[in-house]
Amino acid sequence: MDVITNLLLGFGVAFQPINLLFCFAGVFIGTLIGVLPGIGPVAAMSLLLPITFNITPEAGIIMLSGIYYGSMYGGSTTAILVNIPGEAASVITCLDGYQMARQGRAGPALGMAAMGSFIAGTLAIVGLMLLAPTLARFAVKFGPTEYFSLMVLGLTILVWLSQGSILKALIMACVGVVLGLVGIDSITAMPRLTFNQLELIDGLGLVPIVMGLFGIAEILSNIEQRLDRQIFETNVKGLLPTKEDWKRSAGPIARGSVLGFFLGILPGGGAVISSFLSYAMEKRLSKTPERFGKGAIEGVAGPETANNAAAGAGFIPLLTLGIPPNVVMALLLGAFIVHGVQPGPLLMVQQPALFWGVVASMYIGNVMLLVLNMPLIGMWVQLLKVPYKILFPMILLFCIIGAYSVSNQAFDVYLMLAFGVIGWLMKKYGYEPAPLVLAFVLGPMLENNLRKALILSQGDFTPFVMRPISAVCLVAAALLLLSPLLPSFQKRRQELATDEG
Amino acid sequence: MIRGLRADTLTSALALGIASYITYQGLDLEVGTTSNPGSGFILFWTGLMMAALSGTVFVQSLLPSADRATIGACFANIRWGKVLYVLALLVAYTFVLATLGFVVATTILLLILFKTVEPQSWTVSVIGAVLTTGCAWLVFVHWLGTQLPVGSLFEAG
Repeated sequence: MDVITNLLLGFGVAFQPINLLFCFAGVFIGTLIGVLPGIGPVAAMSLLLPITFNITPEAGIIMLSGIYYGSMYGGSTTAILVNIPGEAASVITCLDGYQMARQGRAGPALGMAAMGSFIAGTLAIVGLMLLAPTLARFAVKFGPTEYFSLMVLGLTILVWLSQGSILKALIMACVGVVLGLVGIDSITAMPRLTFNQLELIDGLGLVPIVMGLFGIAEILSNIEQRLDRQIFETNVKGLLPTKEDWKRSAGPIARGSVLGFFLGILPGGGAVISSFLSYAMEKRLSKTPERFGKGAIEGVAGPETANNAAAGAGFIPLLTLGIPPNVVMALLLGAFIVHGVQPGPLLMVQQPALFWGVVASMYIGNVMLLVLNMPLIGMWVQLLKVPYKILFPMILLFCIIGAYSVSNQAFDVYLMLAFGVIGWLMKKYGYEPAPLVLAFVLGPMLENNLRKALILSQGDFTPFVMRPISAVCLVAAALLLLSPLLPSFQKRRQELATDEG
Repeated sequence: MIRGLRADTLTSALALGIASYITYQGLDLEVGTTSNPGSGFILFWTGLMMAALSGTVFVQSLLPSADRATIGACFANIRWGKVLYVLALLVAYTFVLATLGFVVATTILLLILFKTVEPQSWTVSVIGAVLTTGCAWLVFVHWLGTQLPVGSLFEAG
């Protein structure tokens, strides 16, 4: 009953005209950046984060959330029509989606992706609504020891899922923690790694770092070689899938929703990994696995459903524990903090309008996305025809505006350019930016909780292994880190390794 | 000489250097004790961990079975000129932004980018630069209230 009352309160907030407008803006921009290869949800949210300074927390968070789950919808369009994933979670959709387009079935592929996304997105919100209050009540019992161990587990999962070497990903996580500590120490007020620069006293900005590592680095990678993007010339007609398509996709949609939801909750997990796992699962369960990779609609329905379910579920650890499970949620955490709101177990009690308003806006956003994706698919296809040489100066400009407007100083733009070059070099040498960014956000929280836990236990480390939740998290993290030593686990990790960014 | 070096050897050596500096900074800021951790506590231990990790990557890179990708191979077939040119343009743009202001500096930057990186006709370049700057100004400054520099040159005038 409480849930219904709260949800009604949420709809009251979400239906306010200003919030509806920003919800629409969020899902529209999300679909747009999902469609356009070269700029992902992380870069787009960083760009728009400073803009939310001028609006209410509700409107800001609603818009940023809309960008995230909107990009999950949009990403499938490029994957199906151009064989280029608009964002990382749609990589696997390329396999069968593009083959369907080549067989003249681009319409049903796009239609099923949109419908599956809608169903999963809605189910994930129901799950979020039902599970979040219980988890928040449970999380009130968490102390610094549990928080520290949970963050270690989150970082470890992300490192484990990174492409290539775990050692390199761990190095990046260390760099991220150190960068997060730049500025004044919150306990002793000592300046750390500031090099007597006034701009560094408050620490490094999240937006310039993310824009540099994800936005500028991507542009530099594209500029370094000629990008010839081929559009598959096909008429996108008949978006509604056939009865046979629905019959084949019903199972993958149901399984993808459940799988994506539970993977989305896990710290370090997320949309990308769930789409890969869903594809693997559907192929394994299929009576005709040989059809996969040759235009099987299950290969589109499953992953597209799973990534949307995971996108919705990713809000649970952020809203109930205050711990971002991935880079996108780390940015949302930044947005909450900028607005003076601390996500965590008390959010629902202290800011019910904000919490339930965001949840209700997701229902509305999902309906908006269905409307945007079905009839407007032709418009998105036209947009894909804009050459990258015309697009990249515009993306560059948006990055500059995003970095500058955080604190209105050129220093942040220089910082973004520096991280752009670093991100570009990291890409060349096989170092992942995602562990760095998540560790950058978690670094100060990790430090605070570790120091508090040690002060409380008078320097005794045993509570970390004696308290059950903490012990489970640390044992799980240790097992994950040791798993590459076993060849079979190493093989499995390579299969799952993805780029969260 | 450096192009023939294995990529992992160079990057791990660099990471080792950075890790050593972080560890030193941690010590300098005071590590403290486990019951009363100081400002340098996390820096020190993170630095040490990073040093151990990069040291391991360094040793692995010297083994015969290691990834043989060299520095040269990582940067083969790259249009270096274009990358450096765009970066130089962006640095110059940031440098003059406060003086020329957002509108003038951005129009010039976009015009140069359109006209020189992947050369477009003058018509496309001029229309692209003016339209993009105008739309950006309208959306960010006028509608969303983002504060972008007007330009000290114009303010003085």
